[in-house]
Order: sequence, then C-alpha cells, then structure tokens
Amino acid sequence: MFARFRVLLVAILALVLTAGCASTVTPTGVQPGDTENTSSGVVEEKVLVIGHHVDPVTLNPVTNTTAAFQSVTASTIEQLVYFEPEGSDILPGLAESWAFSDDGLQLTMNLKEGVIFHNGEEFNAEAAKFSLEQLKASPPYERWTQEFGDIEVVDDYTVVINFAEPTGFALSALGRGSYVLPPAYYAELGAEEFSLAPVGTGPYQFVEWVKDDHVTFEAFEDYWGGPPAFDRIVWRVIPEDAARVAALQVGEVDLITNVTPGQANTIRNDENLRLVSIPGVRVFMTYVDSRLDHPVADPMVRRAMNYAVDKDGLVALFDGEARGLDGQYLLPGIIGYDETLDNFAYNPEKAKELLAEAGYPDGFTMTLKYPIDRYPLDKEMGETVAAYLEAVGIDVEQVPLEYGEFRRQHVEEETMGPAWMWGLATPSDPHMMVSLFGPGSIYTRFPDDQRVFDLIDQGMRETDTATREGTYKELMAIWNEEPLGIYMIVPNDLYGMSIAIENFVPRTDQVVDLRTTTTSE
Amino acid sequence: MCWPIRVYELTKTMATYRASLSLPTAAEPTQSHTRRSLRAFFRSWVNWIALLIIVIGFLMAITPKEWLPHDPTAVNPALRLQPPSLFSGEGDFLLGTDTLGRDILSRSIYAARWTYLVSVSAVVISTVLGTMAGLSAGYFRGWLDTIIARLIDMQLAFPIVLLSIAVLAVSGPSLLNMILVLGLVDWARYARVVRGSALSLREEDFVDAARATGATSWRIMMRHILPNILSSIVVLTTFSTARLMLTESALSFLGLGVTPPATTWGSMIGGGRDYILQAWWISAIPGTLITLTVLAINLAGDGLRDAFDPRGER
Repeated sequence: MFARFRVLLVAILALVLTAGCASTVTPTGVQPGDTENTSSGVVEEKVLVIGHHVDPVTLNPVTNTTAAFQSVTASTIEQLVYFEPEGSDILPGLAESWAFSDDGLQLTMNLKEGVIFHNGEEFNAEAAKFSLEQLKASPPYERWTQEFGDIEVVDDYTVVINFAEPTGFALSALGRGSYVLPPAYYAELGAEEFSLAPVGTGPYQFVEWVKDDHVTFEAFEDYWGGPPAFDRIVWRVIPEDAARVAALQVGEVDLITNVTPGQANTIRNDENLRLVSIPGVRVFMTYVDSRLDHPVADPMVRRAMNYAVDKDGLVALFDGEARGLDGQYLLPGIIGYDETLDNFAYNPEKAKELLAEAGYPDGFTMTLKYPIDRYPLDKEMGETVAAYLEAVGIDVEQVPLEYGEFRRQHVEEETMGPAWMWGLATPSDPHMMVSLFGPGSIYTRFPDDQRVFDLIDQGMRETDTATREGTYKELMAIWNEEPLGIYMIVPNDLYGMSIAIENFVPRTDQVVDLRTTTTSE
Repeated sequence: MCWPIRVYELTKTMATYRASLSLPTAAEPTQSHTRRSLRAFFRSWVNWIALLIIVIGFLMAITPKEWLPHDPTAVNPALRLQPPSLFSGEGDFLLGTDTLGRDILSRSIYAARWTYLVSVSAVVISTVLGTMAGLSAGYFRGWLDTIIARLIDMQLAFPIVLLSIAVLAVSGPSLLNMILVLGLVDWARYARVVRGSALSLREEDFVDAARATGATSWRIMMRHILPNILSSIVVLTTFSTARLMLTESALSFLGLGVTPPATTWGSMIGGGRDYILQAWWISAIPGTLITLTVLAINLAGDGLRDAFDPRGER
C-alpha cells in the first residue's frame, strides 16, 4: 500500500519538475537567433508596489493640497519648480531657470524643450500658462496665489507671471503647486473627469484606478529624462498601520508610507528592510491663549513653561525620530531660522525661578487640551508635557479630545482655554509658516501685536533672500521673548522599504516622488 | 489550568454533603439564613483566596500615592521601555517602565484606585436604579410593569460596550462620565431579577398580612419584599462588578476611559498596545491584574451564590 503510494508520489513530483523546467526553457529555446529579444524575454517585469496609508480622494493634484493624494501622481504629473527635498530652496523642474524683475513685479521662467505629455500633447509656454491659471483658480491655493496677476506667453518656451505686489513667497507657492497639465485634454475633460484619468509629463503614465484598492501606472517610454526604472508602479491602499508593515515584511509591497514610531524598530531590526526618515512639516507646540486673564498671558510664565519641558525627552518618545524646536517656530534650513536664539534647553530649576519671579511661586492651574488618535504619539506627548509642567508646580488638568471635537472647538469656540497641544503643517516656506499667525487668523491667539503683523507683511513682500532672512529673524526674536506657547518638536516622516529599492529621496513636503527611484533587482 | 475548578467543585460537593449531615443539629431556628450562608461561604478555601485577592486589590486602591516606590505620573522618556528588573535583574524598576518611562509597579498600584472606583460606583448606581425599577414593576404590576419590562428588554437588547462607546464619544471621556455610563447601562440586569422575585413574593401570605395591617406600599416593598431578594442582589452585584471592570478596561483600552493623569489597568494595557512586541510588560502586567481580580470576584460571586442557594443547605 505504502510502496505503491510512494511510486505515485515520485511520479507526480517528476512530472511537476519536468513541467517546471520545460516552461523556463521554452522562451530562450524558441528564439535562438534573436539576441535582443532573448535578453528582454528573460528579464521579468520590474514592478514597484507601494503600500499607501490612504486611498486618494482625487488624482487631480491641483485641486487639493493633501500630500498623501498628490504623492500618487507625483511621478506622473510634474511641476515647473520643486522645493528641494529637505529645506526651503527651490529647484528647477520643467522650468529650467527663472528671474524676478528689479521691481519684483514680474517673474520670467524659461521652460525645458522637448517635453511631451503622455497623450502626445507638447509641453510649451501655452501649456505652462494654462497650468498656472488652473493653480490660480484653485481654492486651496488661493491664499498663496492671490497676488498673482496676468500670465503672459513671451515665446514658445518663456512665460512671465505678473504680480499685483512684490511677492517673496511666489516661488514657494509654485514649488508647492505648479503642476503641469495638458491644456487640450484638461480643458476637454474638466477637473473632475481629469481626476479619473490624469495625464502629465512624468516617467509613469496612468493605467487604472480601482477605488479603495489600487492605482496602477506604467512606464512612459518617451519620457524626457530617459527610460523609467520600473515597468509598472502600483499604489496599493493599506490603511491599517500594522497590516502595511506586515505586507512589507512578507514582500507583498516594496515600499510603505506613514510608518508609525512604534513600528520603526520592527523595520530597523529586519535585515531585508530599510527605514528612511526625514524631518516632517508638522510642528508640534503647546499653544497658549495669551489674550486670556490667566498667568499664561505673562511672557515670563511662557518662557518658564518652555524651560520646564524637555525637548530631548519628547524626541526620545519617538526613538530619536524627531527633532526639537530651538525656541522658535522655524526649523534649521528654513530662511529666518536663528541659531543664536535661546533654545530653552531643559532647566526645571530656572523654570521655577521664573515662575516665582513672575509672581507664581506655587504655580497655577490650567487646562491642557490635546487630540488623541490623530497624530502618532499625540496622547503620549500630551501626557508628557503635562507631567513636565506638573513637575515645576503648574497644576495641569488634562482634557484629551477626539480630533473632530478638538477641531470643532478650535474653529467654533472663542477660546480653547489657556493651553492646547497639536501640530500644524505647512510647506517649508517662512511666509507660509508664520502667516498662520497673521491678523484675523484662527491660529492667532495672542493680543493684536502690530510689530508681529508688520513683520509678517514685510516678509511677504520681499523677494531678496537676505532681506527676507533679516525680517523673519526679527520675528523669531520677538516670539522667543514672548513665546507663542511651548516650542516642542517636529516628528520625522518614516518610510519603510525593501533593501533592493535604491535612490528613494524622501521629501519634507511629504510628497512621494519616485521619478529617480531605482531597484537593484 | 483547570485543576482549581475541579477541586473547587469537589470542595463544593463536600461542603454540601457536610452541610446535609450537620443539618439536624446545626440549623437552629434562631440562626438566620444570611448567617448560615456566610458560614457556608467561608467553609471553602477557594472563596478565601478569592477574597484575599479582592482585599489585596482594595489595599492597593487605598495606598497613598506618596508610599509608592516611584511617582506614578512623573515621566522620564530617557528611561522608557525598561524591562522588569524582576526578570532581568538590572535597573531599579521591578516591573519595568512604560512608553513614557513611568514605573509600571507604581502605576499598577495607582491604577487600582480608579479601576475599583469606576466599577464599584457604577455597580452602586445600577444596583439602586435596577432594584427600584424592578421592585416597583413587580409590586405594582399593571401599566408601570408593562413599561418597565419593555424598557428592560430594550436595554438588554443593546450591547453594553457599543452603547457606552456611543455615549462616551458624544459626552467626552472623563471619570464621571465613565461611571455614569456604566451605571446607567447595567440597571436592567438587576431590574429583571428583582422584578421576577417581586412578582412572586407579592402573592405571599406575609405580604397580604402586612397589607392587612395597613402597611404602605413603600414599607411593604422595603421591609417585606426587599430583604427576601437581597441575597440574589448581592450575588448579582459581584458578577456585575467583575463584568463592569472588564467593560471599563475595554473602553479605556479604546481611549474612552478616565483622563490622564488618572489611569486604570485598562488604559495601561491600551498604552502598551503599539509596543506589545518590544515591551510586553507594559500591557501584560495590568492585564494579569485584571484577569486575577475579575477571576477572584467571579469566584467569590459563585461562592456567594452557592452559599445563599437554599437548595445547597439541605
């Protein structure tokens, strides 16, 4: 009985093995003469699968400012200019060079030649003009493009943007949203339809989008930058954090976005995987409402609170994948950052002294609101800040709130109480960052201060980098003396990938740009 | 794993047997049902152990913050995720530290007060509410009974955890809300039991006798019916405490529990959720405490039920 069974098993095995051999042998065996075909026939299709944390709501990048959506089309729809991956400098894209006129009212851009869209349309000044007009008309970009005037076509590859007023952050606005769209195709489909079948000039062209499942792109052979590294790129939607890491570990996906700090070690400890991090754009602070009749209205108390909180301790919560703020809202690398300012290094003794000097030797009571389950480690950060403040004698009543409720209170109610903790994200341009606290903004929770508002306005109008820097340094000095709240940290954005993936450049603006990414496989 | 249960069954049988042997002499007419039942309860060593664990939990709950080895709320991120020195032999944190560098041992003891406070207060609220509702429904009958019985059905048809999540999500997590929600959703269990007993008791001769002497409805309910149901309520209370402790843990795990710096065992488990593979002790230690406490309360409840069961005496 057993013997016969074994014979049968061997027979089946043999059959399977020979069949397996046969199928691998055939392609090379059939075309012995055609050397070109032989080599490409053996090489299997190179596919890059990305495990993405969110399903895009739209694939039209110009109608929204959500980096997680724009990432999906970042290698399909290119921009005129780009932010450098880490910092606030502007790098060329489809615009090769540019210059402001002396009065700062005109920006002339020289465009790249020989670029075509996936549908065959040609990229030229008309296309650039059309694209800039879409940007101007797009509501989410309005606050940054309101000074933009007429756009003129000078010749086939030169375009000029006119401004109503000199605008220092114009290039940053372009760095964030100068998406190049095919005029004829876009005009025919409209913004909504375009979102279902985007066309651009990038190395990967759109194939299909299955809602809540995946978006597929394939190589565009006529790409101006040469043949793309991958034959296909697939964005798979995996919203569950743990599932994304698991998919990466078993090799179902090659790259994942939005790795949580708690899972970073899992990736670090796996020899087949690599963790890539970059300082993010979400600036976490404990803001105070200094308009209230409350001890936090006293700048000395706010400075004391800054000394009381250990930034390094908060960074340690993230296993080092974060960086502390240096007593100012701007980060190193951004125009206006001043390394000479007091960085409020952890000093609870000094905090107590300052509190005593301000007239609160026994501390005071305050509420601290913070959102939970919205940002990585938000609850932990809130608890940590509260514990640090308790340690210098401030009695903190913690109010953790569901994010929707937190947001509602912030938008609808006059005040959030004396203190609340959360993170605000903006592109890394000094104007875009500090203008959050301009006159009338919902983020402005300090008594009207003309010095501050003038500096914000002045910085906006300057096109000269050195003058801009001086203006923002002045503003940072004021906010160091009279802190907006407690300067905390900026967590890193984390990506996990297979070690085979090379040349992946993470970007501070959280857009995943795969145009240069290659593989060693 | 399962021998304690078997021994417990055996002990129970023996207790019953012993009780039946000694019945003719021991059961004096002056000895009350309650005293006899309590004596039966303490005859089992399983009940003693259960009681011991509960008492230890209570002692933990009343330990002042200052007596704890470390400050349970002071953070120290530099010392986060330290493994328990109990096993590794190094460091000065017997049970390790959590994600913010707080001592797990101190926090576990500190959390006991909130864990007990929430479940015990909730049980008190639901007991009072449920008993009142059940008593009036069973005693008065008629339209009041119809309404209350339907309310009980509706309440029991609703999953407690789901209802609590909904209410807490709207009202916001806080200690008081947690107690109120748990107390208000659990009344129906008491009401159903009490109503059933009251329905049958109100037909008894001694109730008729009381009514004939002119006793008010309130007096009859409180002095004649309630004492006869009390033992069932006490038993129900123990099970309810255990169950609410678990519900509280589940809600706290989901982040709907008490607000920091207060903490419960459930929120401690929730806090270690993302670190379970790197630092098992953050969740495992409070998890063990919940398991032990709930098991102990359940065993005590079982013991009480058997002890109060009139059939067990004979």
